[in-house]
Amino acid sequence: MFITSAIRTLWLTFLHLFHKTETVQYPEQKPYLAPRYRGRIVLTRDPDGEERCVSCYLCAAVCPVDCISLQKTSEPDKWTPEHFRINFSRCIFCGFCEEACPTSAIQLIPDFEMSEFVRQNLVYEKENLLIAGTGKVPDYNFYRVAGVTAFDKEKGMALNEAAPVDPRGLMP
Amino acid sequence: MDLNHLDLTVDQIIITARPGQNILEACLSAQQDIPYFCWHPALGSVGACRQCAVKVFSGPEDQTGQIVMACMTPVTPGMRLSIADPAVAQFRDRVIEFVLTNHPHDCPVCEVGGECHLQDMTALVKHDERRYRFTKRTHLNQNLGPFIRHEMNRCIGCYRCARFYRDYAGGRDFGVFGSNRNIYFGRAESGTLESEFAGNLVEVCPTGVFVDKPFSARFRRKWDMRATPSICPHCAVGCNITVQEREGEFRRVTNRYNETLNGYFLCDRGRFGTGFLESDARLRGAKRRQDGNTTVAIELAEARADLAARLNHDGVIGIGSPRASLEANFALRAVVGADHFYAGVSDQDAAVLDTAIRLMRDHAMPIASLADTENADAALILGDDPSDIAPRLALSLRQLGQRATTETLAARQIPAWNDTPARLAAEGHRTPLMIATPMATRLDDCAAISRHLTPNAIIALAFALAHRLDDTAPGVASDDPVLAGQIAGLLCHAASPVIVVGGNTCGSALLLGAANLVIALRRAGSAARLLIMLPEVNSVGLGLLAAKPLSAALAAMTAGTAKRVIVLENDLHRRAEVEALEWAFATVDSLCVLDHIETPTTGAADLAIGVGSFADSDCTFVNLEGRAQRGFKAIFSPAEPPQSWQVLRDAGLDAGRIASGSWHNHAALIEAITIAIPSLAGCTQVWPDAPYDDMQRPATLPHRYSGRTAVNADRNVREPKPFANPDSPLGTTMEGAVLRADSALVPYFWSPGWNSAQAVNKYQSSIGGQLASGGAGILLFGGSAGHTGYFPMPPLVPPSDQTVFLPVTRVFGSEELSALSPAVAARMSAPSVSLNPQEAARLALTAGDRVDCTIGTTVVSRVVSIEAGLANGIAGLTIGFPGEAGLNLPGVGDIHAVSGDPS
Repeated sequence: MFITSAIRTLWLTFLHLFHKTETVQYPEQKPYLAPRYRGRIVLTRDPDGEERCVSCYLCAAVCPVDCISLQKTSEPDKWTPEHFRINFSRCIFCGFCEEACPTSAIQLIPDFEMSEFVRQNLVYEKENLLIAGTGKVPDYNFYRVAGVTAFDKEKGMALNEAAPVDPRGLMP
Repeated sequence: MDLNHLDLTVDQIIITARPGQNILEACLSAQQDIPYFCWHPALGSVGACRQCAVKVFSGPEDQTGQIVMACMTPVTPGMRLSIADPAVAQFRDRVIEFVLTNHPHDCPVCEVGGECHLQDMTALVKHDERRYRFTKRTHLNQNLGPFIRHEMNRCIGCYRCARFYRDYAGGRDFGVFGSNRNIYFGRAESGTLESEFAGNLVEVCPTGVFVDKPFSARFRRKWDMRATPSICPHCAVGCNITVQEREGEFRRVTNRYNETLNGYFLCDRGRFGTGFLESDARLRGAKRRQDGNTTVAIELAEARADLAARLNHDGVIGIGSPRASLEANFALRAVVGADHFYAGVSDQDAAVLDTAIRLMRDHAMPIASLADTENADAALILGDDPSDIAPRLALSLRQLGQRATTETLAARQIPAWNDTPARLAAEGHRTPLMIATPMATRLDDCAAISRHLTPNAIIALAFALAHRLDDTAPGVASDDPVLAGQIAGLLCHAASPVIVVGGNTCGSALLLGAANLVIALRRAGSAARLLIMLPEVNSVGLGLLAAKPLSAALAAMTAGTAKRVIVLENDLHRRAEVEALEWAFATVDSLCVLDHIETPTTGAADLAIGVGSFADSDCTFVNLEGRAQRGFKAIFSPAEPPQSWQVLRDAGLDAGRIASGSWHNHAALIEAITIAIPSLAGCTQVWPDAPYDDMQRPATLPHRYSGRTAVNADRNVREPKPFANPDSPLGTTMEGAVLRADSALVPYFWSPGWNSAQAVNKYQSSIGGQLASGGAGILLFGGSAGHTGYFPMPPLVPPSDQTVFLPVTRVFGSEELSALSPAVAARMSAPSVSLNPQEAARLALTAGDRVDCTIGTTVVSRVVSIEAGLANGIAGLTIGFPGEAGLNLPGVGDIHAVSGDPS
């Protein structure tokens, strides 16, 4: 019994001589990362080029390590964050924030090269997080769907909305 | 058979209900969740939203059953019903699907998201798929003023707002327009909501149509804010509030249910007045006067040493404050000595307060709570308008005045919760609310009798009523025997009437008259009670320290016996005439002021120390019923101000004025208070002592508090040590005892699946009943008596040829702290003098004219307003507005038109 298993092991090890090499010569050679890879977190913009984040606090609430901190501005209609901070020295790249985000603003991208010698440099503010494009979701624009007024959008102009009601009208 | 309980079978579970409840109340009390929208425990049932459908079976053999609305169906003994039945579950699912057809895609940008009753109920029904594919109806919003933002698209048409605003709070400028799908809740046109209870719409609305505007500007989700139980500091009612804070910054105040006081509702002064905490007027740090008019900022340690050095002399006096906590006032009293402690209130206020304390403590007058007042079967208001002094009390009195009498409801077999029939039954059969005040009140519309008399006539009326009911009471002839007869008749008919009295305009004599009336009624066999309206949050607490009024302190300062003065959280410029005050300030060697706001008094101080407000301290207040209540330190930040009593203790220890080791913690201070002042003995039981073990303290941070590892990361990526407050029985972190309904300590109301304010249902022994945890404060005076003797009538102020000025307080503006809140400041009207039309015509004045009023040595500028109800020779003068000097009111003086300025 022992002899057969030892010989089998030796044989299987020997066969590896003829297998394809798995070692990647990183960093000279970059590995393939799928678009859905969960790496560095960015804040994206909507198709109109405006910040997508509406400061709803859901990413902060769902974060298991509590590494997201933000504050809404005092603007009543169009919500945006006054500050948006991610402490990447705590982030575990779980992607819950991306799942929770109702506007597709926060997205994880295929970039993991974030090493720093000073831990403080891993604290990213909004200007470090915000990118120019729409990321993985090209079309969605939250404020064009929501019922609040924002930008040039008045009541009744959002997707699937009727014109505002005249409350003094007599018709039922 | 037990008549007070009956059993129901709900899906094979047997629950106990009280006869007269409806199915919804019974099931919610028994922790059986039924979704609902239009029902509200305080507003009753109308059956409008059709969401609380349940199936009721007629007997044991009935397998089909019928669908009924739980809120509209009274419980019957042995009733069998089902919540989970598939037919009724589908019914509820379809109803909420209809409710949501027009609801916008707003939750992420809605302030109510995360504490939304609509979200909770949708999750409870398990409705998760939207099939409606057509357009949503939209609405234009209105500007409803500085307190409330309007977002009508979110409306689900439950009518709660209109029912609260119009039917409950008596507002007239808000209502419902349109019909069907077009239904619109708002005003006839954009404009500020007039009712001083409009803020409750935020909590009454099941979704986000009405939003707390100042909170929206510094918005956080409910789960992200520290929530601490506290006491509202803006009037003597002492409503229970929850103060919410994030990152050392005050965010908002919400109602904290207390069945004996505020119930489900607060006034706008309480809800929005606390914004003063973040105003520019906060006094932060300490400053010392160098020479002449320059002041320099100094470190707190240096300020403490300086204070100790100033205490190290003879002739030190302390001036306390009715807006400072019991702890702070007592600490000052102990440090300067009881003989050198003064109350810091005007003579008029001191006389009223002294009489009130004598009646409540020494004569053990039976005192009504707000709930007692609301449920009384008659009430008489004497002297002051509660709408401006104690607004929440006015809301309770309004419920009494609008309600049908108990006999009417019983005769027509209408349960009190059945809102529409109960309201219709009230027409012509209202519970009698009677008012005798010098000026019109905002309760006149629901009063059976409302008369506007001179102060002397009101005092005479009170004594005459007592004499009419009992011959042995000291008698006077009433000016109006017919009126006295009507009031006496209604009071005699009532089993438990309440006499609500205020001494602002009529003085302490009226309090004695009201007390005589209560004694006379009790001797006649009724359970009459008294409620005395006092001006400030800790008026009674200060009164119990038995201190002399401010005028005595000024006399001691002017006479040179008081050389060094310590003023505690008090702006003396509001309480004394400027001339006398400045003369006294000029005579003393040193003036130290401890306060949390910048006032003219801190400006005049040689040493001003910024101390903690009510939200930065563990503080005990005694309200107008003599109920001691404790609020906890709610705001934590690295640069937090010291608590007043700690500053005084440290300075007192350094100066050797108190024994070493005194008051090493809050509990030791409370013990010292109860030893020194026996009538405050109840203070030790207000809340349980802080547990030794941190893990037994209920956490004030919600379990989903976010951002702990990022919030300070811009300054330092290493997380700081969490805040601690060893004096408090509440934990300061996320860790601690689990929220439990029966725990003695509940920092905030939340229950799984119940994220909105309605979670309070889960903490009550039964719906609308007392909190299972208790914690409603401790009544210091056990009022019982009717055996105390009558009070003789004091001599009345003789009539004067000059105009008699009576003080008028305004709900927005007259209270010092709330007036500093930007939202309340935006709601204040101009200081005015009210005159009746004849008086105005005699003086050739019209509404809007600018006049100078001369009272004693003080001249104040006012705008004329015409008020029909006022007696001749009387003028109502608004008092207490920001930046205004103290006035000796009531007082006599003259009115002169300011020429050349018609505006």
